[in-house]
Amino acid sequence: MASLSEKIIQEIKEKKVSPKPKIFFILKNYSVWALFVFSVIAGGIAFLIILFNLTNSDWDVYKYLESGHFQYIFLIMPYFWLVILGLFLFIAYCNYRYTKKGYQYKVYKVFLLSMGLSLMLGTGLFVFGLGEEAEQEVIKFVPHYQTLTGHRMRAWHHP
Amino acid sequence: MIEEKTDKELVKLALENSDNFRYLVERYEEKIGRYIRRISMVSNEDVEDLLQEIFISIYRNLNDFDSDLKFSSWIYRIARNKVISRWRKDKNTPKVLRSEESLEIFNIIEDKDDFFAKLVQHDDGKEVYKILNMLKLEYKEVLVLKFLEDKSYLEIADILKKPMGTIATLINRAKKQFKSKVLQDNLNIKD
Repeated sequence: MASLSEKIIQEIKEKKVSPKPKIFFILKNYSVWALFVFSVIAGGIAFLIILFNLTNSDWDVYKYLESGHFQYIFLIMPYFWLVILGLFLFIAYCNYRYTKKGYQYKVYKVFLLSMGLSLMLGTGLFVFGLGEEAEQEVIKFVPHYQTLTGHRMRAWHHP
Repeated sequence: MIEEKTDKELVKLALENSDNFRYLVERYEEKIGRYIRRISMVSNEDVEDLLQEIFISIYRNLNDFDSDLKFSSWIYRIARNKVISRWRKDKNTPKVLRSEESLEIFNIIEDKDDFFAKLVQHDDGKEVYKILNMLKLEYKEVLVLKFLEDKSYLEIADILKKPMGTIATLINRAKKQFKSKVLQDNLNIKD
């Protein structure tokens, strides 16, 4: 009776099994990293637009409105971008976990890393004054953007 | 001599010529076969089928072997994934108890944990295996890897693809679960 190793070698030869090329695994690994980097950048841009929206939310007039401080913050919060930021943080987290060594770190550490990188990038871009430009670019590509992000309108509709 | 070659050297040889893959199969078939039996309780025929499937998969993915990892951890990981996907395909496979395996589990665990040692004095080992099979897979597999396969925390982390801290927590919880199942089963073990 053939031993297991003989059976396996025979199957390898009969079915012409061959090891997948190294480049396949290298590309697979790079694509996971590329998606992680993309998600961090997208998260950074989302945070940049959040900062831009928050700093351009008519803070000088809110005291003349009937809404209280917290209610006003609630009204002007760019929820659309918060959801987008959360989504990309989640995608970045998932991708990091799929990297070769990603499993070695606790969930919260991976999440904090993704979030930290996105927030740092967003803040950096904001400091360079790229908030408005980023939002204008988004307006070109996202249909009904104004409807989705009507936070300013909400504030003025609640005098 | 082949026996003196490291796993990494054997991987290199297998990549050069498929005939050399037999050395890796011969080195690991027994260990992996035993591991499959311990975590899955499948029949001997199924173990052989699984082994064949596992080693073919290892051969296909040889270029993915990361030399930072122990080769054994990598192939245990592949074996575990194959066993789990086999379970998913075939959920109704009857589970078979083998008393010789049970006794082995007893004998090994006996040296390593007071609670298990006490348990040994009360039973011939059959109950231990029965109880292991009542545990959730994640608890069962850490107990098998730690106490039966004698793997370090780092190796278990690499096999299960989980952080080391999580492995330590899982082992503690698994031991507690094991103990509570024993008590439920009226084995009457005293601390």
